[in-house]
Amino acid sequence: MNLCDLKINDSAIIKNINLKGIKKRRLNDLGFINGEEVEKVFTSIFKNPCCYKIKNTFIALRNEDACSIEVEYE
Amino acid sequence: MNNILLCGNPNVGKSSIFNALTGSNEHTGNWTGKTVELAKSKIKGTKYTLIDLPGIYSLSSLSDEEIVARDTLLFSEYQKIIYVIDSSNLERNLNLLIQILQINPNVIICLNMIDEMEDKGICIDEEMLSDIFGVEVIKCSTKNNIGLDKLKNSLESELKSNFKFLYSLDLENKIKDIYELVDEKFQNKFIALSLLEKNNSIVKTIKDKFNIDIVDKKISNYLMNVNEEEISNDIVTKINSLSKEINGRVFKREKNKKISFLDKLFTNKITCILLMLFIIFGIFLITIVLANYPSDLLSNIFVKIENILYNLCLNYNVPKINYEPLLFGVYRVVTFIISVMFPPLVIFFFLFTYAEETGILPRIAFNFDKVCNIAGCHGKQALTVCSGFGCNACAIVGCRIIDNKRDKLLAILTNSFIPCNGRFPMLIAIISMFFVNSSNKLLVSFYLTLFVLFAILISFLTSYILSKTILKGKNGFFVLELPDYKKVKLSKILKISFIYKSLSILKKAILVSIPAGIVIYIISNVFIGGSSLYVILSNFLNPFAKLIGLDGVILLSFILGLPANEIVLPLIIMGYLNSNNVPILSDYTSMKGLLIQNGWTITTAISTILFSIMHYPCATTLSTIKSEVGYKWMIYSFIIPLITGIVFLFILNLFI
Repeated sequence: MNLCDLKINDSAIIKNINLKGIKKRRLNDLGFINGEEVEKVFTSIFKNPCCYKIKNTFIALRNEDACSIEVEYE
Repeated sequence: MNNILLCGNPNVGKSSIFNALTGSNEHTGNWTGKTVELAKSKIKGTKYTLIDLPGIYSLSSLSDEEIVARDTLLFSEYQKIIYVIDSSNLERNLNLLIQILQINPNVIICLNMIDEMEDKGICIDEEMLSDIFGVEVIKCSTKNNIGLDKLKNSLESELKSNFKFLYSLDLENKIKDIYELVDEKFQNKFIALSLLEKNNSIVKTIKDKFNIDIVDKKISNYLMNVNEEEISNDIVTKINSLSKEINGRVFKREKNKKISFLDKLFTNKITCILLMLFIIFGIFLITIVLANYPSDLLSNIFVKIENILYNLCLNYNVPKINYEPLLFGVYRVVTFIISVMFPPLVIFFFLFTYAEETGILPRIAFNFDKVCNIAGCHGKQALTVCSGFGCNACAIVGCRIIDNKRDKLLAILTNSFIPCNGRFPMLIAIISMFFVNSSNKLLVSFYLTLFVLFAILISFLTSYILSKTILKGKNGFFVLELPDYKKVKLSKILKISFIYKSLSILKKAILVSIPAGIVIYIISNVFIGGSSLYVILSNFLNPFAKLIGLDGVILLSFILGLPANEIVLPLIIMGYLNSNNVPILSDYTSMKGLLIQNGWTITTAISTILFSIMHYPCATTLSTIKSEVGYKWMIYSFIIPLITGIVFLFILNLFI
């Protein structure tokens, strides 16, 4: 499944980031790296973007981008 | 050579450290990407100059900030790097530190915001951290003045990091291969890795700086067989696992980060929208009510000073031709602008800075990104819209927070639809005269909020149209950190909003209004065939102005008001009074009588308000746009709102 399918308060492990180049690098820099644990903490009022907790920081991503991140439950 | 670089992730309190060490007052805010230009200042009591690099997450994502930081780190001369870490976020902060150590081992680590650590149940073993990297680690807090002297003293230390680590054998061999192929001065691990990742931006920097094409035939042949995605993965994984391991050894956390109460309010649809409307409405109400008193006071004082000056001129027999343009032209225009604009500006920026410092602004961008996305623009445009209420020129500078060029242009071109503080006094005056029959401040705020919501709508609608026409293209990448809410000192906010925002805007406005004062005086005092230039021009404009619900005087006032929107209303009054001087405005009742005498109806009132929302930006804003994105876009930013306004009003006046 993908990160955007995660329910609120659920956490999962990042398996793969299906993006290339700068987008992927930027996600890496913020802590979205294979093997990291990520939790969906809340959504914005219009349900897109959503906020994720990674490395104990809150990062907002658009659902389109979150759908390119494969995750798996522990 | 006595330069010291200040580095770190965004929002780790770098700018606060900068201000504390140098005694200067660079503006800080609780959100990402405040510093785009490099601030430089002398560190108090030392020979060193501190350079504040932009806050970045890494050196390899290739945003403008990262390129500036990377090039400074790689190719400028400096003594030491102070690396600032947000203590509650050690792990991610270590990533950039490890990258920087590959460039230069002369680092001091500054563990910032340690006073907030205890609240969060965090403990960092700084001795262990110091042993691991072989550098000094200093705990700091600017709020409580902890560790700053120690930080200054440590600048003299000779300690260099002895931190070493190896990538995979394969990658290390590739780095060695690159070393053999490049000039000695580029034999640096970071440069080698960038080449292997096929990072063109570093090639460009070297070409610009040293006039050397580092990717010669040999290197480009070598790079043919390199898979850059694999290399990138290798680097990211290695550095990440290192930071994880180090973090595990030195960092202890008792509590986990929780969703705060405010975030619960801000992410619930109903409470958030209510809260936002309440905030907008409240800000207007507060501004309208509070700004009145200091405005009146200032304007009374200025009138008294004018009388004194006038009498002095009479007593000393100064010729009329000398003092009249200065006193009745320049002086009146400038003082009018000060008394009308300054008090609401201070109040607005106080509230805005508060929202900025506490961390509410990124939540607004987060919540309204969907709306912005539909309008084809970036979520951060919601923020530049907010700061447009204070000053459009400031908002244009603020558009720098948007990385993507196209998204930035959308934000810039549509910002002047947002009524700034210079336009509010006129909107409030017209609403008070024609929409509400008393001085009911609540009702005035209500109507004002409606017009403002309309302005926001038009701004986003224009964004949408532009994003489908002249600014077609892909949306930039939206990824935004939501920092913790912070408690802030009121005195600090007052200082920032008063001195660094309001005063600097006022200075600019005065500079443009001085020539305007002279021009206005000339136009109304040069007579051709018995009538003044002002009358001739307004008669000339009248037929066209009638088509869009205005009249010649109103339109001419908008044209003469190009330097500053504040003077539009006084110019209108001056035109109707048929006077040769900018009038001193009296109360709303007599003003309303004058307007009605000159044929104003509710339609004129609505048309004037709408034209004030939809016309060209003021001169200060235009010159800011020119310096930010160039002439071409300045012209667009002039034409787009003007045509929108004319077309809209023309159609509106066909039907009413």
